[in-house]
Amino acid sequence: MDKPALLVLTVPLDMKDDIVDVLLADQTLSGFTLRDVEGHSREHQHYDLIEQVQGHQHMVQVDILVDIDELPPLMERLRGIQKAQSLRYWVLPVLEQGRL
Amino acid sequence: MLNRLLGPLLVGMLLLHPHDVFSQTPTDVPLSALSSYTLTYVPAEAVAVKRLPATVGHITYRPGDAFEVTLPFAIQQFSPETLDGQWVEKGQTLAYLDGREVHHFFDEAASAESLFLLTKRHYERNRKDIADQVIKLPEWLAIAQAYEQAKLAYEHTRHAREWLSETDNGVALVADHSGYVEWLAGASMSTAGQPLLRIIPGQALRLEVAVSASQVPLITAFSLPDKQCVDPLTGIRPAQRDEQYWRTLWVDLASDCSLRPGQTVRVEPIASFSGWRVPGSALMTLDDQQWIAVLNNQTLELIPVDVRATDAQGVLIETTTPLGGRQVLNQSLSVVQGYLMGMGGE
Amino acid sequence: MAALLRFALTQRVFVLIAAAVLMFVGWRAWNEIPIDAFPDISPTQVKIVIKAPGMTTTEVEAQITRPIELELLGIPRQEMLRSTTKYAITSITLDFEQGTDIYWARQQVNERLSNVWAQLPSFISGGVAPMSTPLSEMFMFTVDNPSLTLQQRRDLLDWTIRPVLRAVPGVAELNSLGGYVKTFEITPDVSTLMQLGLSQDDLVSAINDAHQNVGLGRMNRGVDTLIVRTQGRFETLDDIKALAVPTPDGRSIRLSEVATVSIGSLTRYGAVTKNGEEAVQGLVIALKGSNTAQVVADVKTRLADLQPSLPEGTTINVFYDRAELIDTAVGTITEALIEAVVLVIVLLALFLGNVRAALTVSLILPLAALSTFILMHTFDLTANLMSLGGLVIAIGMLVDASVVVVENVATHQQRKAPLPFLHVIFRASKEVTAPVVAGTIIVVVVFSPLFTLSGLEGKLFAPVALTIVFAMVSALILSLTVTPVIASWLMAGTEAPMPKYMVWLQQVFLTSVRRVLATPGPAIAVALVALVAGGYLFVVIGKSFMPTMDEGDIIVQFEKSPGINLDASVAIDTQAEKHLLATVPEVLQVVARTGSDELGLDPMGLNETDVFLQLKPRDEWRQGSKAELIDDIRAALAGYTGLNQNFTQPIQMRVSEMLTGTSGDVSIKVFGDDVETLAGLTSDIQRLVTKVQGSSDVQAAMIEGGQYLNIKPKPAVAAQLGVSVRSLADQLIVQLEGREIGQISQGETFIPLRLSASAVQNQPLRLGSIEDVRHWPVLLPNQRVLPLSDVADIALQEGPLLIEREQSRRFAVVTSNVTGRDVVGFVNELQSQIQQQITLPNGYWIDFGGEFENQQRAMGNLLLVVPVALLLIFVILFTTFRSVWLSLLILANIPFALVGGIASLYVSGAYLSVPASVGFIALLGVAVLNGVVMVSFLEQLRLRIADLTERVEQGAVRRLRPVLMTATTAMFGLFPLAFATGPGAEIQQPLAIVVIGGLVTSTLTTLYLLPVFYRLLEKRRG
Repeated sequence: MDKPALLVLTVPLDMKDDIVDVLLADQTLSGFTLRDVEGHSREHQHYDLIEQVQGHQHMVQVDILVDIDELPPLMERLRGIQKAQSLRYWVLPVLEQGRL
Repeated sequence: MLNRLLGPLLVGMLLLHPHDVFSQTPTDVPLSALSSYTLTYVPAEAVAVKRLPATVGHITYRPGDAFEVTLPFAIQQFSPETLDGQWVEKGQTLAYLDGREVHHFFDEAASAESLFLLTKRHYERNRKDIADQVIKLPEWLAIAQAYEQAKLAYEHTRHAREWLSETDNGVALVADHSGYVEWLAGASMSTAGQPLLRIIPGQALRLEVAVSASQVPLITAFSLPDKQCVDPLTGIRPAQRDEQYWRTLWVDLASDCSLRPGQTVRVEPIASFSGWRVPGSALMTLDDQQWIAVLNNQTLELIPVDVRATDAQGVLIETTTPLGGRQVLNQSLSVVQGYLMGMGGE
Repeated sequence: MAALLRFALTQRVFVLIAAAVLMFVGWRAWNEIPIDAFPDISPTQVKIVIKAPGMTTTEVEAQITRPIELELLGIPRQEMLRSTTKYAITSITLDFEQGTDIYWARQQVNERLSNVWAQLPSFISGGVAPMSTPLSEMFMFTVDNPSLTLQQRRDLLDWTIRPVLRAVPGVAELNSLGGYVKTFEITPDVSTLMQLGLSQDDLVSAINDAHQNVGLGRMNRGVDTLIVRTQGRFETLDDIKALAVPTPDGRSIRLSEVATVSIGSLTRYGAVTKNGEEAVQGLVIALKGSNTAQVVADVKTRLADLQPSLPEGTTINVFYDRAELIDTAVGTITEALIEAVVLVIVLLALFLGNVRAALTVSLILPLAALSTFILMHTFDLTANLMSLGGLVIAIGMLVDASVVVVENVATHQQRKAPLPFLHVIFRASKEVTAPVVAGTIIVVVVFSPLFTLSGLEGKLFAPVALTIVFAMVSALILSLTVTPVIASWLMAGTEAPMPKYMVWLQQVFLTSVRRVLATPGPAIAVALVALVAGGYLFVVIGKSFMPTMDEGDIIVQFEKSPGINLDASVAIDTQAEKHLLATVPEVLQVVARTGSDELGLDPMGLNETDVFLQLKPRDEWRQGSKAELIDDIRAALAGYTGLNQNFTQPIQMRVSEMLTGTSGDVSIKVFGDDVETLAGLTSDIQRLVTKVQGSSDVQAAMIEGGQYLNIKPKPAVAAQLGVSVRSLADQLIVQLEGREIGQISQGETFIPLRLSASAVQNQPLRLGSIEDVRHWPVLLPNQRVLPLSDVADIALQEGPLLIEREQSRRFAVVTSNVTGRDVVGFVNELQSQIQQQITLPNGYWIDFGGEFENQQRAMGNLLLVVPVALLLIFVILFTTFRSVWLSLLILANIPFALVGGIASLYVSGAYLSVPASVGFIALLGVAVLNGVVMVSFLEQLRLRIADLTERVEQGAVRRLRPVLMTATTAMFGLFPLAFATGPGAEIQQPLAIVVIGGLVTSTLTTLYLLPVFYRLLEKRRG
């Protein structure tokens, strides 16, 4: 990987399985990391009762380490997932990556 | 506990309520209504007698009907030759007597006889004389008195003498009549003049039986179920003796009876009866009344009856309707009963 | 749940081993579960039977029934106290609250009874009846032997067969009926006694003094000891004959000269006839709670062992064997089960287009069934029509969970994503876990209110509910563990595409759904019309309690004129029997019992007969149906007028009697004090009932109008002559009931020694009329004789024959069966008729009972229970969806679903009965389940499809297959039950009909209406 980048995708809990399936099926990826987070977004107001009370939603963040050149095709594939709302993402540059 | 008394005889059955359909006379039943059942009939048997429950009677004689023997002397030794209840013929030896007074009696009898004959001769001889007035009255009186006294004394011994006879075995007491011997068991022979025995003539033997006063008017005859006499005993006379609940009756014995005095026998009173006998299965009760069902063309005619008695062969009934020649239903009657009660209709 | 899934998929071998163990344990459980035709529907009940020979009805009531009832009323936890008092016998039954321990109840009753025993007359016998239920009569046979007399056969039964069978575990008692019980009897001859100056008491003293063996003690003889006794006990008839009786004159006489000494028999209170001849019958009564099938098998084994030692020519002719009914019933259910399984597998294969997938799903069936057996065994449920029926009902629903799972797996598989198969399975299963769990819980919740049902319906349907719950829970767990595991092996690599016709169907459906969503108006209108129609049908449809089960055997009950004696009664019975045998070839043999049995458990009068018809196998009949056969038998007996006839069946008759104390669909009880008034009222009511349409076999129990011959000593006469009630009684009883004075033991048997006159056939004196009684010679203390009429007043008196009491109040009852219409309608009409035409005096009131009573209570219960169920479902829905509106949405679909059920019930001509109601409850669960599955998927799609309409369309289409699969498997799984014809199926049939019909409308509702309303709802929330 010349130019590693980290794609961080924030996904509602209910979509976790779908995203995972897509990522698993993608042979080009070397892997991904999942993380439980809680978050809030003004754009998506589909809170259930607990979330309304708490003020934030359960979500999952996916970290995908990918070469910056491989990123656009991956984004295309991810866009293709059937979903009702948009998924927040950001891409972080990675200084270094490897295995110890 | 009164009702513990006896098993209730469920004799009848009312259909529930007075104002029900069958408080009037039940109607006749068409045979077609009973077509599925087996119906059998028997003719009603005309019956003229009815038997009442057996009781016990005694074979004995009415007081005064038997000959009582009294001997005017005391007996010291007495050997009976006949048994109590045995039949004896006239002249049969009854017993042998011995004792001082026994022999003395013969002397007494002999002397009484000779005295009598003597006085009689004298009396006879002098009768002509008093008529001819040869002798005077006082003398005649003495002769007549002597004669009468001797005669009486002679007669007195003659009665007893007729019962005695001197035999080689001793003085025998012989029967002066035929009949059954009844030794008077309580006789004390050591005293003169006590009744020794009685001879009961055959025709004096009767049946003495005590029956309930309430039954007396019904009884027309008696039978002996143990068959000592085959013919029923019909000559019935009441006795004088009356007790509160019983009456004693004397019944003549029939000629074929072989009974002895002193016997107790079972007797069955027979009441006259004019009715019929039908099997038990021919009788039903409805509305407090007993009925039989009689065949009448294609219907069963219901005839009210009064039940009088039950015996081993069936039930004795009386009814105003003549049953001669009629056929009485004796099977499946209880469904006729149910039918009339309205059972089985839906 | 996800954790469970994960565990299963990671530990697949473990899961398989666990499954194998389950199968083994399940098999064991199946073998150990007690099997019977019905669950134990008897309430906790204790019965007291007291025999008082010779006592009249009113006396028995006054001296025995009332004191005992008074004492029993104090026992806690009782529900109903009933008694029936007849001539010489009384039977008191005490029902306890549901759940009362039977042993405790019996102990309470025993205690109270012993408290009061001393107050009761001294000559009575009896006590608490064996611990059985009215359904315990499970095995009946006659003892036949052409070379033995009735008495000998009865002896054989009493002394040889009975001890052996009583020892069989689970047998409470062996009841003997019929024949003659041997006695040695002494009949004194009055005139002979008179002749000898003896009285009857002299004879009795002489007998008692002699009939003893007295142990005197031990005597020391040197260094040894010798036991001394006097011997005098009679052992044979000759011993008795030779007894020397001292006479007043100082001599003695042999007993045989004063009395007839012979072999006689006990007064008979009942008799048995078989095929037109008298017979002897034995009846095995099982203990409450025993394993019927096992007990019957043991009894048969013992009888077979006993056979060689019985006299030659003896056959034990079994004419009723509950095991046959059990086998048939269980067989019917098992057949239905197997058919259901086969159908389900076929359907699955069709829908999935993939045999292996079908197999995966269907493997859950045996596993769930075996697991259910384990649970049944753990909770002491018996295997019977109801519980096994519950299993059959559950079959269609069992597969739902694993169908959903497998179907989703297949769907995911089709996508051919390059993912590990295990992961695919995991994903697919996880996706549907929530709705599946919710669905199962909903079904469990839906059935649980059935446990609150009381009475007969509670006892019948609690097992159904329980087995369904067990089955569903087992299925849930298995489909989340075993099914994925099996799928992982069976379905690997077999991505079958959706079958072509399925695809076509989906297209068709999509089009129609689109159209409906576009213009929902017509669809909603149709739905509303259907709803109204359904509501109308619900009101209009006939209502009843329970369909009658075809037990196979028929009983005809005869009631003849009340005063009839035993011989006459038997004579009529034999005629009817012979006629039946001759005209109806389907009847194999006829066994009839008249009057009471020895134990007094069923104290019928001499005029009452139960005629048991054992039928030939169905394939030998001319008729097509049981109803036709009964019509033929009715026709054959139509000519037998003069007696009342009633058709029933063995269990049905007992259940009826047990529940209401009467047998008949409807019973009208009139309560009051005066017997004559009660009799009048019942006869009026009887006439009324006969006129109401649908009534058949109308009967009024004959209570009044019995006549007794009353004998009362005249006081003055009695005193004067020394006559007492006792002395009259002693003499006369010899001629009638007889009197026991001792017992002779011969070997293992005991023979009563009695003063009686049963055997003296040709005695000149016999009591056969009132005149005979009047003339009867009474032996007085002064050794003279007077006719009874001189000594006592003899008169007929009226009195009741039968007194029935409930809660210590007298009542009389009119019963009727109902044919050709529903019971509730019949009762309503009857009630209004009675209201108009009968006026009740003060202190009298009327109660309606019988099957009708049960129906009222059952409906009342159910109406209470159903809203509770709905509430619970709402709670579950809310927990799942966390939205009130969605929960209400799903619930709102229920009525539409139910419409189909009521329609199919109406069309099939069945009534709304308890099983049908249970079917509606099941339907409720299924409708909700379908709704849940649909809505949850729609919700899931919320994150994938933004447009509402499209989401709804796509969601509906995607769920088409699973919805159709669950619906059709449930429907077809119930077809065998709906069309089964064997005995036992009748009870479950209405349930099946309701569910099948309801599934049609429920499916339509789920596929069309639900999306429409969902969209409307979402728009509003939007």
